[in-house]
Amino acid sequence: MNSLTRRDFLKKSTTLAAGAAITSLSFPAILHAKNKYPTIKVVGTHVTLQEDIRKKAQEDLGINIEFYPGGSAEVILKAITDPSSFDIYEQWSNSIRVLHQADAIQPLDIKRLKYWDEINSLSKTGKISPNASFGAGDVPNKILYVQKDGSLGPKATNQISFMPYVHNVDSFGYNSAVIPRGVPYETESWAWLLDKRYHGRVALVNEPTIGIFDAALAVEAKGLMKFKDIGDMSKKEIDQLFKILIDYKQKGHFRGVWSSVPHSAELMATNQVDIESMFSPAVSTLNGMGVPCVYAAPKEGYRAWHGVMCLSSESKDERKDAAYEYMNWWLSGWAGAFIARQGYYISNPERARKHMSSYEWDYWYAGKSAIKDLRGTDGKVSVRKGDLRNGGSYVKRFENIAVWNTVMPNYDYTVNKWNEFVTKRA
Amino acid sequence: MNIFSNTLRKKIYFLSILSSIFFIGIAYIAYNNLINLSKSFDDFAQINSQAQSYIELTKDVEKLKGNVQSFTYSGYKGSAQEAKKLYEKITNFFVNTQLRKETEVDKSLLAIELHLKKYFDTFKEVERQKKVQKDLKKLKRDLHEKLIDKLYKYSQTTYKKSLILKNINDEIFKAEKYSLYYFDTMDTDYIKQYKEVISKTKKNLSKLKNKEVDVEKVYQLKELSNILKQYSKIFLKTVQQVRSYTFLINVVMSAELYEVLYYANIIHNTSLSIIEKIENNVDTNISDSTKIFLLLGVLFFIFMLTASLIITNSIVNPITLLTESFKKLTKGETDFKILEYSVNDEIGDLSTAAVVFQEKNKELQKYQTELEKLVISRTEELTKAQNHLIESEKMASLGSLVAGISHEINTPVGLSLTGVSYINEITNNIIKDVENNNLKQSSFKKYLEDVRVMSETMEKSLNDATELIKSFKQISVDQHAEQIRDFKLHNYVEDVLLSLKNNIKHTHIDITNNIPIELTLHSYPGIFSQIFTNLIMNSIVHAFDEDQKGNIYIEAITNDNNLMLTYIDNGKGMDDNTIKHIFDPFFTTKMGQGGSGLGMYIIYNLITQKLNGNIVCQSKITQETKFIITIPMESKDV
Repeated sequence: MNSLTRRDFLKKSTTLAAGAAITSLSFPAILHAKNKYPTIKVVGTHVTLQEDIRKKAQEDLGINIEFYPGGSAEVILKAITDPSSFDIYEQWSNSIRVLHQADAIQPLDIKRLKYWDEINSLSKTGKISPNASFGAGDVPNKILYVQKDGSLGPKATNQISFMPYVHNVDSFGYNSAVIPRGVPYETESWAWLLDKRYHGRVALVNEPTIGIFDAALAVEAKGLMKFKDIGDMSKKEIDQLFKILIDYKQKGHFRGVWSSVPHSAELMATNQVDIESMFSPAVSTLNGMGVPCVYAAPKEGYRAWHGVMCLSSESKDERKDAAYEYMNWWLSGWAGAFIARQGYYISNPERARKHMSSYEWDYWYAGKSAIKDLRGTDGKVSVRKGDLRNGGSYVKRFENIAVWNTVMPNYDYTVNKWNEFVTKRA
Repeated sequence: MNIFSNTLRKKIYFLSILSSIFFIGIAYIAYNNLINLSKSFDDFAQINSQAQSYIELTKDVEKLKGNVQSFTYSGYKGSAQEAKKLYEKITNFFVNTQLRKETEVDKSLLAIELHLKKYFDTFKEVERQKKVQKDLKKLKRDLHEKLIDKLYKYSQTTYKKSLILKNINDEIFKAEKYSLYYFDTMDTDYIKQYKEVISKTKKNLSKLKNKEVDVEKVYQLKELSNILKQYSKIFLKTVQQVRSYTFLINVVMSAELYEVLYYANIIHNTSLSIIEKIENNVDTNISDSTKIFLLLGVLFFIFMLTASLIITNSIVNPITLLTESFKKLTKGETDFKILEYSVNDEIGDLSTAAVVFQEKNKELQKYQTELEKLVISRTEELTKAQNHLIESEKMASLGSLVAGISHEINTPVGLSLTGVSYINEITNNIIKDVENNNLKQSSFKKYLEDVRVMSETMEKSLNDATELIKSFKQISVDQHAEQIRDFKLHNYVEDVLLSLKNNIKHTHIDITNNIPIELTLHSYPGIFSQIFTNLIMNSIVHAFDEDQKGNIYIEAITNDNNLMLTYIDNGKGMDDNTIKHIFDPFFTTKMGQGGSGLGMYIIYNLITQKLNGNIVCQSKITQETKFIITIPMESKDV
């Protein structure tokens, strides 16, 4: 009852907004347009909007699925300004607050999620295991449950703002041909990003809600400053942090920032950087290219992120039903196994396990060494026989979280500072 | 003629072919070099123009950036249009430029193209979103106005001057203020304050609603609440839009621009270093070319020198030496070494010929020497013979002189003898008559007459003979003595004439002796006898016919110490050929007629050698013959 009222209410207000917002939105590239009925439109990033997934889903579900992948900023902007243009929104947890505030999304009914119970405790409690450290910043459970008053919080309800699915811990990648391999959790450190030995050959991810944490962790690990709460930096702390960063940038320590996964891979492949913020697909890509990129397991802990699958506030009827089908399909096992080969984890791993070979599972999830070469989703060998996943098992890795990707309260302030950092030339 | 039969020619041809090959080689190297040089200039020009286009590109990028920034911060549409124009220009540049991923510059250009596209695509989105933002803000403003309006209307209907109403009004204005402050400063505190104010307003409205009983007014208040909710939502939506919009500009675009400028910097630096390299390349090429040309020049010089040396050694030198040798040979020298050129060609043949020639010359010289010896001996013999002949002639002339003299003398002597014989005879007759006493006076008178006449004749004859002998003596003495003495020429010539009386008297020739009487010579008189004897005899014999009348003039004039004798006869004269040979020995036009042909030859020799003078013959056919003798007046003993 509540949800219906809420939905109607949301619908009215957004209709007004939508009506007033006269925009001819041009979407990021449309991958496919078939005229099969029904059609759902999925907007998101290249991370999860992969053609193989779309084809398989279409095949399995018998519905028409249109993907609209784009950069994070574009995607979020479109979602905010025109929720009717999509059904499913796939992105990261750090956009939940924004979407929620803009009424771009509608809460999901747990009852309609087939595999809700299989979803592990990470997203529900913030901890993968009792041993786990509680990372700073937007731990997923803090923004998961839609409370009675409409706000988001950790208290469990039947309504969630997003379906937990893809997640991972990120750190930085380094070229082990140039930088000697470290020991996970012991010698590998965020401080390496500011190591003068790698002067001019460092890059950060161009995302204030992500890259700032890589930088902050590095600065803290190097002992240059200490944060009270790294997930909620004060303006003063932000000033101090950026003073340090801009100084490094001016001296030419950073090659620059990267705005897409292919760009990050290219930077290392073309020998412009030896160490950089990295997302795991780039690690696979680089290894496939013959660049021995190692995804570090820093002793300070990882920067974690959680993928979100949201339902547009404008999605209804058949499209909404189809959307739920699609969401459920994602947790049905195949997709989980697929993305596991790219180094991502799924919220219900055991179901994905059924679609993986034992040696794949051992390597990707169990933290064991590969007993044979493993191929990535592009068909190229991304893991060599004998390789060990840096950082160990799924559980071990998620037990070592330093911070979650977060839209901090001083986010706007950081954006300006971030801009200063990005544009500063050596 | 087979061109290859000539070995020297073969050598020349070979040398020509070799040098042609050499020069072709030089020309080829030079040409190649020039091509390379020109190519490096072309490369330079191309690279330079390319570099210019890159610089142009980077300038356009800067301008584009400027325009984009101008639009994003001021919303000035002109900037957006300018930006679009520039982007189109830059895109055209990339379309027209062939980029391969090989060079640093190309990679950078491709990167620029990629990131610039993202930059500009984001800008286009920003442009769109700016409008969206504008519309959202307008909507918010409209809602605000609507709120105020509705609140006012409500306040008009109620008679209660509620403090709450006032508060609500203030709060609505505050909210709007905070929203505007937020958009100006992007300070999230204002969002917080806005939310607080909205919350307060909501509560106050709720209070009002609870107090209100009028259905119509309750409705109005509900409407106000709705509008307030909308207003709040729109504001929050706008906030998100503004944040995302700012994010696009500050995060997405700035990162793409950074990459563009990063690669532009690489291009700039690479272009500079390429230009430097190509400039150095051009400089190197120029200096290399210069070196090569110098080297070629030196090689050319060396080649020419070598060729000259070869030609000099194998052709010029031998020819020069041979020429020298031949010059010497033509001069007749034989005692020098001819350098034999032992190469099998024409020069070699020539040198062999020279040696042979030298040998032959030597032989010739030998023969010449022998011949000279022979000539000398023959000349000696001939001279002896000549002398002998002269002697003979002298003897002959003497002989003829003697014959002439004897003939001359013979006549008077003969006459005398005849007279004496007659006298003897007639005397005998008289005696007989006496004895026989048969003497008749007439016979005795005839006898006495005969004896008288005979005696006169005999006396005259014997006188003539005595004179002749006197003259002959004089001449002959002089002829054989050959001693220099003083004598008067006139008289001497008279003596000669006398001695030739017998020859002259039979002719009709008149000889005139115009020699000055006082002219005295200190010379060999005998020679003069011979001269005049010969000249006169020749005139008699050759110049005149037997009964022809003629004249001979003998003249003499002196000049300084020289005597010029002129002998002229007006006889037949001589033709040029005769004049030419007149002094030749044994030359005579009356062969077999008593002339030995030596007379003129002898007097010529006597005049030229003994008297140290000269004799010249001039003659005009049918008119005269002239002999001019020039001699010094004092002869030296020769």
